[in-house]
Amino acid sequence: MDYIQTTPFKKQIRKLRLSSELIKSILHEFDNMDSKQVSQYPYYKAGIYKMFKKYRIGRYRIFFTYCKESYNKYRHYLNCSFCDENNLELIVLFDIQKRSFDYR
Amino acid sequence: MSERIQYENLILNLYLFSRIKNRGNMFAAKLFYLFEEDLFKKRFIGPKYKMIKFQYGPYNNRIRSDLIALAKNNFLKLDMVYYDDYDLDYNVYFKNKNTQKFLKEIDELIQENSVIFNRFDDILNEFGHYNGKDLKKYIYSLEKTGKLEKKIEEYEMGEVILDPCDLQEPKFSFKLEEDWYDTIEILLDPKLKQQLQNAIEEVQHGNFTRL
Repeated sequence: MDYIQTTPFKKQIRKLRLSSELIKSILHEFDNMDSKQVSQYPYYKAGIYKMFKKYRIGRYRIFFTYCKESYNKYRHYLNCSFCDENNLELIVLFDIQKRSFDYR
Repeated sequence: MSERIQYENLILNLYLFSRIKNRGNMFAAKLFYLFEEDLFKKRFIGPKYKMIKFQYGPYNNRIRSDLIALAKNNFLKLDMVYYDDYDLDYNVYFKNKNTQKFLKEIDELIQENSVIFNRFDDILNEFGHYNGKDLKKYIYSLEKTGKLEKKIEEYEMGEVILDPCDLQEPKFSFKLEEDWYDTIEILLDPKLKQQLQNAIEEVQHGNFTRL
């Protein structure tokens, strides 16, 4: 499936110093997902995060949206500049974060 | 260092201070002890602070650091108050708008675990009007308490009085499943929240790469 990487997503990848193999494997996975597979990823459970799906690999979590599912509910909130109701077979990779070890 | 952060404990701290104001570590520790013991007897697990015998009875240092961290991240308001009795300054905590907002956002989770939160409400109703010193007195007055069911004085300093995790096959345990765990981690971290907010703004302004 086509996907979009936001600038913060790309910045985070650099900041987290992910290996190029890991990045390749993550992007490859998104690239090869079909709509059925994308739909199976769970959503975060509360707050503004409810509109994001979660992809987890090791200690890393990716926040992404699947336009086909988020268009009706969240397009006014997200208001993405590229939004196209005729092309909703699209994944948007918003952010990648690492799980914390401690709460301080 | 634990692989898993005990967000359940942090949630219960926020729930406690959403109901009670102007209390410090000692109050929180003693109240959590009474709560844990009550749940233990019912074969439930709520907070998971291992309670050790300290100078003033059951305590766990982690309670203080959890409260400070919550205040540092602006989920509680922290004030220093001078107590004549001890000639010392103490941290006291109050809810703020983020406490309430957070609890509202996780209302579904609270409902799912109502068996624990309802019991916590009962404990708060019963002991919420006490202060730390009164709670300590109350706990010391108990003839049988803790895992060995004896008076607090009879426990050695540093001895474990109660560890909720000792409970084998609990009837119910307040444990976040993975999707909730990941959500709570972000909800309680203002930096992560801001980072995601920035990402939303970037797609609104056309800063992205299409592949």
